[in-house]
Amino acid sequence: MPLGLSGKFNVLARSPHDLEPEEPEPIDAPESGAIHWVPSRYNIRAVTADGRLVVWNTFRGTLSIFEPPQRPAIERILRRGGVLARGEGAILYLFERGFLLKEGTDEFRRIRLEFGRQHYRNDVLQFILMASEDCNFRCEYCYEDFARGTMKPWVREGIKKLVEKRLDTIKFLSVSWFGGEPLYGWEAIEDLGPYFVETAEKHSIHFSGQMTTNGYLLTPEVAEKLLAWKVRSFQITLDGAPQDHDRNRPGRDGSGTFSTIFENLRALRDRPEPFAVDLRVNFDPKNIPGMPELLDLVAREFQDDRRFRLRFRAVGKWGGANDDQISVCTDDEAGRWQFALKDEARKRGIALSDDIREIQGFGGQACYAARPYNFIIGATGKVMKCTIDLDKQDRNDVGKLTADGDLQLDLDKFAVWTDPAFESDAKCQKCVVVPICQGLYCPIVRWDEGRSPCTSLRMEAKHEIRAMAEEAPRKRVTVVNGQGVERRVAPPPSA
Amino acid sequence: MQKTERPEVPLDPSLENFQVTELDEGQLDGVLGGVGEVATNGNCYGCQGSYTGPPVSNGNCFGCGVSSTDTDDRNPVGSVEPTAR
Repeated sequence: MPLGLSGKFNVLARSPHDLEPEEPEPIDAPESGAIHWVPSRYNIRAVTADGRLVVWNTFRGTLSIFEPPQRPAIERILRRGGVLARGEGAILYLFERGFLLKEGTDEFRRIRLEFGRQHYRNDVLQFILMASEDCNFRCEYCYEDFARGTMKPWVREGIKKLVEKRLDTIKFLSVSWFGGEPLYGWEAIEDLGPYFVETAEKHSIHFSGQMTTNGYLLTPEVAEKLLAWKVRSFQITLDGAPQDHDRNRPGRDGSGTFSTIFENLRALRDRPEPFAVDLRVNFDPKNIPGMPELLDLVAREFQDDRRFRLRFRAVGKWGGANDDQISVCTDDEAGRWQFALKDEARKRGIALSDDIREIQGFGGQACYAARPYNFIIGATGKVMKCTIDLDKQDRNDVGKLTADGDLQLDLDKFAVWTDPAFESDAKCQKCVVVPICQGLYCPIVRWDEGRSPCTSLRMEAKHEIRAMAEEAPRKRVTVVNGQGVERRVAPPPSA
Repeated sequence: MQKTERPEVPLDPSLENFQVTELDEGQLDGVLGGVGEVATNGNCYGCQGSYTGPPVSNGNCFGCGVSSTDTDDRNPVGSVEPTAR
């Protein structure tokens, strides 16, 4: 019987609250009266040489630069004890940007919530595919054993079937080609590359493709196909000046490789398509003296093309056969050299891959191996998590892909890799950059050395944001007045 | 004095009307909307698409260097690069 037809209200059938007039929605705005505000524990501040105040919030990813006249007042508002003030003007601006919070806000709890949303999402599928486990180079520091060749056809079919099984749930598909040297296993890429693009388009899935390659086989013809298959992000290594590179990264027949790679890079530069190349430079005590020569060369060829960026990494003893023979920097030396090399690159106008803007915010420096949606698939169907351990460590042999597209995982091993370790790490819980790395910068450091795996950003953040502010033009200017905030996308004429 | 009885801070004259430069790239939207869901209509947050060169790559606009909204190119979940190569 429809409600109310009897003319008598039946309290067993309907709530009396439903008869009450609707109250207006409370306005969701900062309180009109003065309230207590405290600074976010994830603010990092620095002052530029010309007196501007840079504030970066590692949780929200916001970065604002205040001009010198505002600096003292902003610093007073952001002092540790907080302020009592009305939620308008500069206070409102700082609140909206996450630099200022209402007293009593539990930011760490918010981080745990966002971490869960990101870490345990099931609409993402990330593959690191070893198109070939063999390589045409024999780099002196390499840790791989080149035990297998091109990815087997049945493994490729298994990958396709796995994707098809996940089509109903995934919105993002990411494929990173790796090896060995992935282009040494071209047959696998030629098989799967078009498949990923077509399947993603057909099912409205966002697809992104990356490749870590030595660049030797990245000829214009190969680049053309890869770009068509939406492989648009490359990491290619140049280990210093040509003679240093050829010593560190010879072909497997002992020949030099620099000139071929550089020709391929030039050809790539001349293409019109959008893509990004991270030029990785592994440095050690032997090739550091030649770095100015490389930087000059890169500046001359790629300075005006922001698709090319540099990334510096210290050579390490990564478990290769030559570990006892190679010379490496100490941790302190590595940190100092990385600083110095980045500054030298900036002086030459070269873009950097490790710019804070490239980190992509929350979780941006958490290792892929820690994510439950990331799988390395080897040439023979082995499922792994870490690209350093590969199958040399039993802990990293987490399962197998079947020809039917099933992932048979050892969940106990898998769970160790994906453990949200920051939740039980007191050091991480106090750290200002935990939103970025989530305590997951490198799970094997935690495993092998029993310590928190810290990103260098922890020590370099002030230097980085200062350097970024000093080189960047004014962007997306916001005007704040006594009442509110007006956003503009470009500086006003007077700026 | 109790903690809650701090005096109200009057507006500093220097904060009555001022400009701020912002160098973030919609990362805020990434956090609050779920990582990878920052896209709106193909416009770059920084230059609003006014740049005429190659529009985007790997989530970055070449014009201003900030995150774009071309979700085809975005890496939806940030992670460090495959290491040691």
